[in-house]
Amino acid sequence: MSFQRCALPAICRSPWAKTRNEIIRVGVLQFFIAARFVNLAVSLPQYQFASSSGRPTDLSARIGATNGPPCALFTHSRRTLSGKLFGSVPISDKTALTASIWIGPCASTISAKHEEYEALKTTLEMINRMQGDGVIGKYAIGGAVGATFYLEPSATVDVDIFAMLPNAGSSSLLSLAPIYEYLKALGCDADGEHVVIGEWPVQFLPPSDALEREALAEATETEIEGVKTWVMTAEHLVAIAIRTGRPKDHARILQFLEQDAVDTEKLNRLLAGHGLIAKWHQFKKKYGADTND
Amino acid sequence: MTRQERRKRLAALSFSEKVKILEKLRRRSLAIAASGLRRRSAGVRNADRDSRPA
Repeated sequence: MSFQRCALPAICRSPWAKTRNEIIRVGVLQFFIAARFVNLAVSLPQYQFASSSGRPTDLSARIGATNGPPCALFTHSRRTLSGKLFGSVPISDKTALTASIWIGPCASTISAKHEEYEALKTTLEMINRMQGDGVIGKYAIGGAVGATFYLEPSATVDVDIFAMLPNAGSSSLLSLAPIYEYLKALGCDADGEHVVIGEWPVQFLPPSDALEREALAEATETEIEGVKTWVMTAEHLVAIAIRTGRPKDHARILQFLEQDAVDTEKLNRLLAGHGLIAKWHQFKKKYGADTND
Repeated sequence: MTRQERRKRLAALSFSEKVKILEKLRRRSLAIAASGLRRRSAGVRNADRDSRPA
């Protein structure tokens, strides 16, 4: 449902909504009317709003005024509608429905129910299906999503899948065409270097050197919501990040070191084995990283 | 709870729980990117910088 479609005309039509608060009030009211119309569950369980702990309520709306910031956070319950400027959007495990709404020339997102937070599960189910059908061989999640296995979650827009290609042995030229064709037949769209599977853009990366082949071979098996998958080891993720060497890779390495998420002996062996010791020393010199080696 | 403790607590969550948070973060990043707020505020910063006397 587009918030802009239902709320903006109402705001424009309103003869009295002139101030920012009035505009927000019209927008939010219109949203609730529309939500009721399409039968969205916007009501709260009694225990949540009866609580005095100040927990976020079931439905929250973040509203940016037409001319950009400031933003306002609204929390709504059956009893109250209150808001404050420059609030942050709450995340609650108990949240059954969260609505993020921007007034103005903005996108609206109404993300409802926990099922919608299983998009990556769907993506991985599809990748497992590809593996089962022989389109890809062994695979492992790398990049920011792989790092999330060991660290606290950090925002990322795509999933890096390092995958063996069954046809890689017969030719020196690697082609991702079978992957694209397979996914296209299933209705997925290519978006630059990504293929959008479910909601996530996925980048398929055939292993380019011995380090990545080893990372694939030694990947850890795990599960996401009951779906089997593989994640690169922390040491391989760090070694690959050292080799890649972008600022965001360095930031991630620091996170691994700060949280003591790597086995430094194993990491040193890996770095020595793949000729990355010089880069590692450069990194330590630049960031003064303490690695006990 | 200190920031470090909070980060450790988040890191100790199960992968499935972390992925849920990851998806929320991603949706929020995409919504902010699509809203143009970031672009606009960057534009304002650049304009401020350009208007400063050398």
